[in-house]
Amino acid sequence: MSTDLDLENVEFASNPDPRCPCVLLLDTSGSMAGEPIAALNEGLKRFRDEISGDELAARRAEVAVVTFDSDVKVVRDFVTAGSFDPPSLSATGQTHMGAGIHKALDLIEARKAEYKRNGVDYYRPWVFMITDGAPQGEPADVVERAAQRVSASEAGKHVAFFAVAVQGADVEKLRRLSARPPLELSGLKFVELFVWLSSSIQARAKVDVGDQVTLPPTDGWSSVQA
Amino acid sequence: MEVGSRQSPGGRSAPAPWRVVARSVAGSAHKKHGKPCQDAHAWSVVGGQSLLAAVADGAGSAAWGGIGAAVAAASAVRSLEAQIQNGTLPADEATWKDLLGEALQAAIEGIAERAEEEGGEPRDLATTLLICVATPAACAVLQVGDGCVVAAARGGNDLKFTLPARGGYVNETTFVTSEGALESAQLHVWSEPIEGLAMLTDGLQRLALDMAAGRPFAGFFAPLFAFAARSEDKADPGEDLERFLRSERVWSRTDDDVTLLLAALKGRYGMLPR
Repeated sequence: MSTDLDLENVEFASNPDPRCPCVLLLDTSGSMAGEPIAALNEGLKRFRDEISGDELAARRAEVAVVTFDSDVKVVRDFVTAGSFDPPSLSATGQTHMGAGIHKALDLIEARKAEYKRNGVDYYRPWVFMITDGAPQGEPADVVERAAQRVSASEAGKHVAFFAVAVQGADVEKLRRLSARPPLELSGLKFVELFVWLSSSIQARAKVDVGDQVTLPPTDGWSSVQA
Repeated sequence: MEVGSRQSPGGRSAPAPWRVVARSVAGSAHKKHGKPCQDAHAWSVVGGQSLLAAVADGAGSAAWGGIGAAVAAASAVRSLEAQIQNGTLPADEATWKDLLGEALQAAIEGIAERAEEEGGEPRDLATTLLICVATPAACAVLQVGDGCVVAAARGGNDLKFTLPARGGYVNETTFVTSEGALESAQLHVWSEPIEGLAMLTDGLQRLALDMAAGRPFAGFFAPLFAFAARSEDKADPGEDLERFLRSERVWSRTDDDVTLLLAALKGRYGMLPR
């Protein structure tokens, strides 16, 4: 059946894609060496595969990777998910988690300023911190300020910060750092976690201004319901 | 009254002179996650001349958002029908506010009743709602949430419009069940006759609006008004509209549910220059 000629003449406005920025904040300290970091690297590859399979998410989602051990590195600055090149991470050293958190939040603030400068709309940014431990090797006030910054960012709805505890993590310490209860990874189900994360980013539904972010069910990878 | 979510008998001649074609289509994101279309629309013509219309977008995060959208759109139009049939048409902003405000209130109450029947809370039926009345003298809109309404006046040379309510983030908006929805609703009264009307939920807004300039994209609306004006000469304009809304051209740009309600006054819009 031929298309209606009037409808064929409909032109579309060209507006920049809205962006959904997400920072993967990853613990690459010594305790993650061996199986955990290998599974995490697999998970990152799957994340790239899943999210680039969705045409709109590939354009809208933006991913950055920050690692923390005895050092904090921006391994991947923000890039649209379709162009995300998953890093192969190795693990060694201490756990400068506080500094990692500051770096992730700084990256997000800079990105939002960039969006505003360019008239780009965006979703509420996410930080996903994955760790098997607790802050180690940092001055206490760095960690304390990180916790306060997370709390203030959440209260002001500037960011949604999620902590994922890998087996061995100090969940109590994480509870104090993250405004939300930490999610607990079952075994080394990184692949399942990243498939879920990709799906969660793709499925971001319309919410009421002022609503809390609700996550889809996590039982595919977590032993504890979010 | 014509009410539709996925399907509506569009294009059938409304009582003269309005030609109305309307469709709501489920988005690919919703289909992927097993959800039905959560958009809805409703319209009616009273007194042979006044068009009453509503479109609604159920919150994806609400369990029964689609039901909320359908209830809100239908309740609003029913309320408008009853109010207009019982009285005269509004003549100033205050009386327009009363008329449309009551229709919004009817939508809120309809949702509250249905929520109770389903054993849930009104927020489980959260939805945006855009209500419009077009009479021979004026056109007025009350809008809660995103989406937009665009009306063609002065023979199509002048577009009147509303813009989506802006929250900070692109996926946040106000619903009829939100705190302060009545108070924050946008009211627009255009005191001149219009010849064309388009109502959309947010699925299409990035295709229809020049977001940076903050106004409708003329190339989107002019052919659509022409389509509506000529609809009674087409074999199945509802099907044509549905096919357009399901076309690859649209789906490469949005994965959300889409609703497009089009109305035109044949003989007033159809012959006019773009």
